[in-house]
Formats: sequence, C-alpha cells, structure tokens
Amino acid sequence: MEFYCFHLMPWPYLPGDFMEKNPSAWVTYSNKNFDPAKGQVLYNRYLDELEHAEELGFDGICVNEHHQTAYGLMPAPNIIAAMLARRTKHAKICILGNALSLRDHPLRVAEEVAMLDVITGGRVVSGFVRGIGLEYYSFQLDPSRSRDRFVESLDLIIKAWTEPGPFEWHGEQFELRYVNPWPRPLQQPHPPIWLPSTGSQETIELCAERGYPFIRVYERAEIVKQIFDNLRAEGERIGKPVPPENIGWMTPIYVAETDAKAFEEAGDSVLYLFQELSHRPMEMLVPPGYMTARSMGAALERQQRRHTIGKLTAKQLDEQGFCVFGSAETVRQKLAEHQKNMGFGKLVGLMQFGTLPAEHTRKSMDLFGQEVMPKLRSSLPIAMGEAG
Amino acid sequence: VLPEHPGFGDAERPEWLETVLDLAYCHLELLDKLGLERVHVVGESLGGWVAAELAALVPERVRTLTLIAPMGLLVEGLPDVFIMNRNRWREVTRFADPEPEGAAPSIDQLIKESRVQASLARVGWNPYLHDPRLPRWLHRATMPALVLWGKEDRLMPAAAAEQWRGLLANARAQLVGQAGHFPALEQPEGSAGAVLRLMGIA
Repeated sequence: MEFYCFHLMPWPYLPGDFMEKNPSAWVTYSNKNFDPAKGQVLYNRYLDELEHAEELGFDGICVNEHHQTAYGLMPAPNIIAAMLARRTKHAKICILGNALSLRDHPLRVAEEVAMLDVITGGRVVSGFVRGIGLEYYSFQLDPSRSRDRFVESLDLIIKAWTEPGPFEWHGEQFELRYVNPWPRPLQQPHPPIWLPSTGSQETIELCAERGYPFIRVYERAEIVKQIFDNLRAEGERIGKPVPPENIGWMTPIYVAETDAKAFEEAGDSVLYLFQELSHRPMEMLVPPGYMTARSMGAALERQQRRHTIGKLTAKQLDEQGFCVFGSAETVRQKLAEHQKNMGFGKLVGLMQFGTLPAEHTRKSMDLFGQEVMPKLRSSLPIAMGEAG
Repeated sequence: VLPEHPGFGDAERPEWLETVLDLAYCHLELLDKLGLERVHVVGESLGGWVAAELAALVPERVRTLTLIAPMGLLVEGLPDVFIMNRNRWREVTRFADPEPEGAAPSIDQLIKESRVQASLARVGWNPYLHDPRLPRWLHRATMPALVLWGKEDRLMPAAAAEQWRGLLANARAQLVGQAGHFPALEQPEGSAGAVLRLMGIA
C-alpha cells in the first residue's frame, strides 16, 4: 500500500450567501473575488503542507490543474511541482495531472515534465487528464475534440520521451516536422503515467490496455468499487490483470483525537468542498461531446444521484464513503475496510479540503502520518491479497 | 426537399464533419444527386447559417434565399447555448410561455439530445456560432433574399437582421411580432406568407 498526500489548494473565502447569489464556483464566478494578498498567504501555507507530507513519510505529494475557479488555485501544476522539486528530497512529486487537451502544444508538456524529472532525479509521476467539462468553457475549446486530442497528445509525448529525435509526427490533431525536445526524462523508459479520471469506459480501457494506474477522485464508495470492478474486469477480459498498485482512490481524510472531534473540527470544511466549491450547473459540468454516448449513460445516472450529495451531512458523507473521518483508530479501521472492499493499492489522501485551517490540517496530517499510516503499511499487504 | 444535417438527427456525427461549410458542401452534393439545378433555399437558426454558406458558395444554384434567425455572424453578448438546461432553452427561444415539461426526459432522450449538441459544438463552439470568413463572401449571394426574425428572439436577438441585410447583395429584412427564435412555429401564417411572397408563389 502506497500513501500520497494530495492538495487542491482551494479558495476558502466564499461568502455565506455564495450559493444563493451565484450559479457556479467555476467559469463565471468573478475573479474580483480573488484577493491576491490572501492568496500569497494561502499558496505558501499550502506548499508548506505538501512539504510537511514528505517529512511524515508519505510516498508522494500530489498537485493538479484547474482553471478559472475557486475550487483550486493551481492552473499551472508544473509550476507548483517545480517549487516542490527543490524543497523536497525523497517524495515522488505527482502531477495529477497535466490537462493535455487544454494545452496548445503537447511538446511543451513533454519538455516541462522532463525538466522536472531530471531536476528531481526521477521523482516525477506524470499524470494526464483531459481537463473537466467546465474548463472547455473557460478556454472555449471544443469538447467534442477532447478525447482525440488527449490520446494523440499522450502518444506524442510518450514517443517524444522514448524515441530519439528529430522525427516527424503527422496526426489528426498535430502536424510536426521536427519532434526533438530537450531535455529527455531521467526515468526510463519514461516517468510513470497515471490517469486520474471519473471512470469513463474509454479511460478504463486505456488504463487496462497500457497498464497505467487509474486514480478515482472522491465519490460514494459503492460507486468507486463498481468502477474499480469494471477496471479489473476489463483487465481480465484482455488478459492483462490489473494489480492493486494500478488502482488508486483519492478521498478527503481527517484525523482528530476522537471521532466526535473530527466531525466537529472538519465537518463544515468538507461540506464546503461538496457544496460551495462543487457548485455548478450540470450543463456546465458535462458539455456536449465531452463524453461518448456509451460513457454518458453511466455518468448521467451518477449525476442524477449526485444531486442529493449537496444535502448530505458530514456524517452521511463519511458513512457513504465520500470521505474518511475519525480518530486515528477509526480512520485506520475504515481505510482497511474500504481497501478490502475496493482493492486499491494507492491511497491518495486529500489532507486539506475546503476551509480546513492550517492548524487542523497540520494536526490531522501528523496523526495520520504517525498513527494511521505505519499501521496500515504493516497490516495491508496481507489484506491486499484478498482484494478484488 | 427537407434534408437532415448529418449528425443533427438520428444518425451519428460523421467523422468528416468539422465546419458549417462542410454541411453546405454536403447539401450541395445532395442537390447534384437529386439533379436539382436551381432551388429556393430556406434555413432556420443553424440551418440559416448553412443556407448562407451555400448561397455564397454557389449563388447560381440558389433561386431565392430565406434566412430565419440565422446563426453565422459574430454577435457579442449572446447567451451560451451549450450551458442551457431544457427549461432555459425554452425560455430564450419562445415568445409565448411554452407548455410545461411533462415527465423528466429519459436517459436515452438525453443521450440523443447530447449527440445533437455535440455536433453543434463541433461546428459552433469556437468561434462561437459564427464563421469569421462569412462576412467576406456573403456579397456573392446576389439572389433575392429575405431575413426573417422573431422580434422577441432572446437566443439570437433580432438586431442582427440589419447586419445580414447589409452584407447580402439583394436582401430585405422582416421582423415578426409575438415570436421568439422560431417565428415559423409561433407565427406560422405570417412567416409562411413572407417566404412564399419572396418565392413569387403568393
């Protein structure tokens, strides 16, 4: 079992009447509400938290990419990764991920990730995503081209990392006469590629076929299990069984002295993540053409159920496996249980979420690092054999 | 002849569909196949955009041109057609209060609508519902033309009618009262009368 500390770097200052007065925390929520002075404090605090995760023994620290939103302040994940590169020594730096379909040029991504990999001595995990539906409004990019652009960018980057240049590339999306990026990555044949995803059938097939770790962001545990089952079934179907280490679950985690204290201290913060920061109309989240018809059916069903999420209490979110809260012992037990049910080999903990302040984030991380992680590490390799 | 735009009906979007000009070429091929030398062309909304491209491309094939609230020219401040739910769509396209929705749409229905929307995204996401080349070439459409627009259109406001009239070589504009984006639906008699007069039929 591997442990990763993930950060979304959220904007925690949305006003109390935000949801009544605004249709969305994405795309249209005015950037006049971003206060740069507060932003300076936040960025540095959030970076401290990721650096602290290395001290606690997390295997890796994770950043990601979102645009024009209060949800997360990392439009450029490689910049955040670059800052962590020189301030950490051992932890993997996981970019989860670069939003390939939103980028003008995939070679720019190949270059930046290769730079990071060389500078860190091969500590980079290169996650790739398409960018979520909302970002196709923010950049006015045709969502119906998103999948093709993603796959071609991915293939081009891998080829650019693994085959000597210069070579020519003539694809549907990109026409290049000289592909020859300097530097090349240090890890061979290339940095590990992970695909964080909501679980579209196309991504599941891609992960199973190529052996990329698949990371599912927080969602009802029962649904995450279905998606992981689907991935394992696909692996069996094509004769490439998916090992637990290729399955990752990302979830908000909060540890306090007691179960009651955990909900008291972080309950509102997790609701802020599921309500305020997740506030957006369905039509914005899934623009036309973003999903294929076969993935759309399952996603629409999930979305119809999701309308109820905004009404759940923190306790209910925890019970349904949207997050994991409690004392160290409770969190350890719950995670062991979830692991047994879902069969993941990578746990990606969102250790700060919503409005969770610095002191509580630090306390929870310390308790997790000192009392939860070591016990899970020693106990879980056995449980993993039973999974799936 | 009432042709379906490929990708906008029951059929899957064809791989080759990239732009509205592709749709115009497709309809031109249809005219060739059917052996229709010169025709009256009527297009509404997206269809108006296709009709305008066709008329500029092969003016000699178009006897008269009717554009009903066409997309295709740059207008700032338009509502985002891709962010609308069904209720909002009815609000911005209708003049009269539309009848309330019955049962919630089925997943199959939503998937079909989403497929049509995806085709619209393919041709109209960026640039948003217009073709920057079109104003350069519209003057080639020299046939008698009518730009018909619902006065209460909130999707593509009727102010654009004047812009179209100015760019076309031989057009007049007519606004239809008590109608939104689909005047032929809300004011069928008045709309049909204007179109038939242009064609010299009534």
